[in-house]
Amino acid sequence: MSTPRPLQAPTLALARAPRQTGFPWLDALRGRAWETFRRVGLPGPRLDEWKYADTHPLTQAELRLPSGEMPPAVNAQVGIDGIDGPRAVFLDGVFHPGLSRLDELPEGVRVRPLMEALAEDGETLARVYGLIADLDGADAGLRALDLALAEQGAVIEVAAGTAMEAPLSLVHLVSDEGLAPQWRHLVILGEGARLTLVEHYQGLGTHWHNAVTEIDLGARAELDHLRLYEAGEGGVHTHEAWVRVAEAGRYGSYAATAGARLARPYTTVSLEAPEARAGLYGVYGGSGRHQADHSTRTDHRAPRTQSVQLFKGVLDAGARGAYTGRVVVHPGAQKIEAEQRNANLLLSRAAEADARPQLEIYADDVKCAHGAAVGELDRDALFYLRARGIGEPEARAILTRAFVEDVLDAFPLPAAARWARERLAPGDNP
Amino acid sequence: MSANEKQPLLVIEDLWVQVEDKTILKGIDLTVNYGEVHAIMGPNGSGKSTLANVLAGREGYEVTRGKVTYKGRDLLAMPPEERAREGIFLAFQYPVEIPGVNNIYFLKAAVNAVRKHRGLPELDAMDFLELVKEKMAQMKVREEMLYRAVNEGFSGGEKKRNEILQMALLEPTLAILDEIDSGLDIDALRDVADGVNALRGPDRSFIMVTHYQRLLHYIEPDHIHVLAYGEVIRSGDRTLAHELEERGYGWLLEEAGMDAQGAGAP
Repeated sequence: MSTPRPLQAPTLALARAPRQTGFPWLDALRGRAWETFRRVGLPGPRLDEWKYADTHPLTQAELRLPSGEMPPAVNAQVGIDGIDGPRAVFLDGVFHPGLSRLDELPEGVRVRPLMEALAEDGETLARVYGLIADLDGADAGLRALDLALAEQGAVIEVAAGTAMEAPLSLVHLVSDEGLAPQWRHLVILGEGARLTLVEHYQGLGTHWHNAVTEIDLGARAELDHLRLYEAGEGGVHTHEAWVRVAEAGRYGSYAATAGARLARPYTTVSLEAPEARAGLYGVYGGSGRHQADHSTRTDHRAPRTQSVQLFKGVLDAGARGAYTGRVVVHPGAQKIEAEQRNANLLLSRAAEADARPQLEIYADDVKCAHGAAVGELDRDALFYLRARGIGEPEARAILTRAFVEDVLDAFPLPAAARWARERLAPGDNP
Repeated sequence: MSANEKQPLLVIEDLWVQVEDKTILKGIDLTVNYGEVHAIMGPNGSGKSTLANVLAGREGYEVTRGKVTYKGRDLLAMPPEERAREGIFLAFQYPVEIPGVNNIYFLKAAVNAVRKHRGLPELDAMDFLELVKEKMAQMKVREEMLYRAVNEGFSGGEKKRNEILQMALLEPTLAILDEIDSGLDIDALRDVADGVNALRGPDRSFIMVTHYQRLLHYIEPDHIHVLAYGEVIRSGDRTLAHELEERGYGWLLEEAGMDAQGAGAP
């Protein structure tokens, strides 16, 4: 067991013991989480899971938890052009009913602020809440801190057999310097339910979004989960999605990170029953001091489960991007299929990409494939475009967009693909 | 609109070119006037494609001596995109496949880059589609190719037709055709040649690089130059093509004092 990193001053100021909520089960859970955080501390490169994610900025910056008071509306765009539909907006760490649109949800769909739902349905939710994202392991620090402190987030329930057509968005915007909101979302889809969920994390200046989304998918339920992260060099976004998929259910994750001092979308999917499927897609880009770390863990726990992963990075001078994909095939999980692909485009010699596909297989009748590549722009293609009169910057942008196009093709909402494309390779779009 | 009659379009003087320390071109002189079609012929490895690539501005070629003047300007100082905008078009021997880039998007970007440079308004999607469909009909290019990735999965013939389509859209002043006939069956060759011939005119010149005389039956040149081991060893009018057809290149090499390995070349 490695030595926890001592908490430094700014983190200490942030990490005060959780307040009492008045619900014994919840206080006990938060207390355990707090103890875990005190024991394991902040994760960092000393842990294999965090090898390529530097949490140093968290100990350097002056960060504070939101006060809990309702902020005034901001003068910034909330949400993403072209993504309409119901939404819950969280401004500077607090649910903002005025900016949210939750009054016209279809029948069978419930979206409630976290504490409201836990107060109303504590007995039922206690069987799931905080239990999908376990607190085991030396890397549990951030999700433990999150569970101990989070009082903002959403509980989303889609009843069995209900398919919601419009995407549902959770928009998190920090406009106040130094805020470090802790988010906790719980998504429960009944048998055969369908949902497209967009999580958008935005921030201006120095800030830290720390979030955990727990997802429970019933048999034949399908969730498409888009995750869009946007920050400058002062922002740290750490987000873990923990997903359980029942028989013949399907989970799709589509993560895009553009910029941020550190953006680390982590996804762990447990395929718990036969024919459960997961498709994990991600794109990342950056320059300067930007750092992206897309990590996944996929557990094939039942026969005939399938997972596909495709991650691509576009990295310019100074940026660092990493993909770590661990696939574990458990004993008895025969006839599963698992594929992992990662490719990186380095736009500068001063960019760094790390790719780690990891396979652990304890069954003998499985199909597993993985591949990783790091390369530069194709010089012949660049010349071909320039020889047709297209200027070098535009030619580079065209080829960069082409590089990520197969990942963005998988994104279920064209507006989200466009959002990512514009941030990874600015320029005219086809 | 009429071309400048007094000034040649392209003047190559004593051009020496090296690729990775190996000298490929050894003092090429060539003058192309407006409206002329020149064929550059020669055995494999003679430097024909090098010449085409140097004129288009491909990197990896080092000019160690000589100069190239295009429309009175120093061509070698211009980046490839500027050459293209100024009217130089290279039809590639091996058109590059670009996965993820739609052919129609690429064509529109190219046409608008060139139009912008020429002070013309950029075409919107509708106007461009109209233009490209008209040119496609002329060039016998199937419409379906517009919506595929650039050259990806195209047959040899489709790639060359796509090159000629680009040429028709960009309306160059100097078109350089690098082995445009290679890998084509007779029908495709005829279509490609028809496309080229349709574009011939007093304000447009061509340099055709080819290994085979076959192409010259379809596109008749005004001048023929034989290149061997980096030197022009013979220039003549189109009758030279017939002589080459009958006798091959050997006698010219002998007359130039070269053997098949290029020994004797300076």
